[in-house]
Amino acid sequence: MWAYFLHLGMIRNHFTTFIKHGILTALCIGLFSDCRPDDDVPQFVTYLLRITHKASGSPLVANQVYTDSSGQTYSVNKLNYFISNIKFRNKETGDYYHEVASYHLINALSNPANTEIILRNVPRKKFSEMELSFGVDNSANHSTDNIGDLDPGNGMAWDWKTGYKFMELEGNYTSAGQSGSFLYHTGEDASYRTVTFSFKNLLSNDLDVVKDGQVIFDADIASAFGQPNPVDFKVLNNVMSVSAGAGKIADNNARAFFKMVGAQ
Amino acid sequence: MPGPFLKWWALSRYFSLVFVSGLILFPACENKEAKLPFAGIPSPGNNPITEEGVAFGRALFQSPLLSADGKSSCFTCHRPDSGFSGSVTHLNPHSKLKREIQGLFNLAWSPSFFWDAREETLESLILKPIQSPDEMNLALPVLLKKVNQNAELTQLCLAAFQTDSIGTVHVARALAQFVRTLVRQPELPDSEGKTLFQEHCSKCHSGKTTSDFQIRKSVLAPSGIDSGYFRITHLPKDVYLFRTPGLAAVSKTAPYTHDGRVPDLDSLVRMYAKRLPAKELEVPARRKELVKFLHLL
Repeated sequence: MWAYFLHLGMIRNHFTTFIKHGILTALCIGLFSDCRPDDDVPQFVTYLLRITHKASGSPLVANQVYTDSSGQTYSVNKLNYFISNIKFRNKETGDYYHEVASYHLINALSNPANTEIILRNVPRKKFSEMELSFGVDNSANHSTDNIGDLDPGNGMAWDWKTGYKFMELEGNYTSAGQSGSFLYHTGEDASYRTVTFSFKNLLSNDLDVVKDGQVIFDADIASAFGQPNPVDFKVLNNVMSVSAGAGKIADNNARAFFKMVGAQ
Repeated sequence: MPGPFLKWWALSRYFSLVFVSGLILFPACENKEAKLPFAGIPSPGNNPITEEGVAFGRALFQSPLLSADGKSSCFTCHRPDSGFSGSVTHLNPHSKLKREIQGLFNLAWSPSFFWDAREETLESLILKPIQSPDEMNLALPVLLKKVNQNAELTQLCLAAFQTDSIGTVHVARALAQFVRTLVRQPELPDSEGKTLFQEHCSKCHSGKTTSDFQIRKSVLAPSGIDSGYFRITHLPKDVYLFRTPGLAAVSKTAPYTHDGRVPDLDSLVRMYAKRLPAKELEVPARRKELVKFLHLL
């Protein structure tokens, strides 16, 4: 009888050992092989979005005087704006990348260090176009209870209503002999604009994401005064709401503010 | 033991067990609910009301660190003995503020804030008086520096939000939590004044919050240059629209209306009585009954 129980006990011990070893083996396989593809290349890479600010074709320098396409002269002393919802997309395959919590405050003059945006976890795929928006989408624009670049302490929350200024552009002008200052603050849902940039136009092909890379934009602020709503500084120089003309400035910027000049 | 008896015995034991455990568990659940001090007060999903959050909010509310000169706190203008309101325009005609300070009761139920309804959330609203040059005049980066140097406040933040590094979001959320707990919704017995209120006032001053919080054209004659909601939308239809205020502790929040032009409740009721279609309230005795009721709110 005792031999029978001893035998049962040994079987049980062997069985327990077998299970323990099995779990350990599975864990090892999981740890050392499952997380890596066969070719040992990471599935996701990091992309840098670099912005070079300009004014009428020249590098943007605070308080330097430039001439716009209508012959008016202007200088800029403040340029802050939000970029949001950055996406890469392949229109044929449907492959897609959308940055999580994608809100970036760009302080073009006061903090040149943040004119670079780091896009993490970009999948190694081919993309035909890139999309981004100027402003803050309505899911985040109806409360300032937000952190990061949307923290109201960053000075971009409106003081006359709930929500954010999408762009602060301030400076001085001379137009037909008349001088003065201008202030364009866009904002409100109605001045949120989304723009798309084709990699095919720039590279004659899709952007093939295989390793860490970068996308480079020139951002020429002369766009704000250009087409399709040319700004006569004497007439439109103080904008703080859509009803005062923020939509016109937003349309101008959507058309020409960003120009993709490099992607690799 | 015969089969049917065994079944009956098992069933009776089962149900008695369920009954007894119910007796124990049900009151326990009830007590738990009753112990929740803020049950029933609405709050946004990302900022639920907690005792720790309210304690932090209360400390911020009474802290002079929130003003540039270090002399005034939120309580300075929102006085507890005045329905958390105060007076500027009536008592001090030279004040930079052109609108009366509103009471803070029952704001948890309000979908908009300020006389012109320009703010959509309490968390957004609450930072505005702190920064306003005409009020506490403190830039947010300076505010954060000051409160983060205060050990009591950083400890309260730690308890409330699991971090002792106070950020803008913590200040806004804690203050909003505290303000949401300012609730005054008395159940009042039937009276002549209550009937008059329901007949003549409750179309706009409705429900437990005594307001539907909608914006509407004031029945009072326009005054000065304050165009109300129009200042926000610039639409002609919004000229002289104002948010309907709640009436909790209304007897303590004088003077009345957005510009503080009405000194007391009797004058206020008389003013409205002239503009209401029914002339019932022009009878002094009836007006007195209504004012008596308003004192109970």
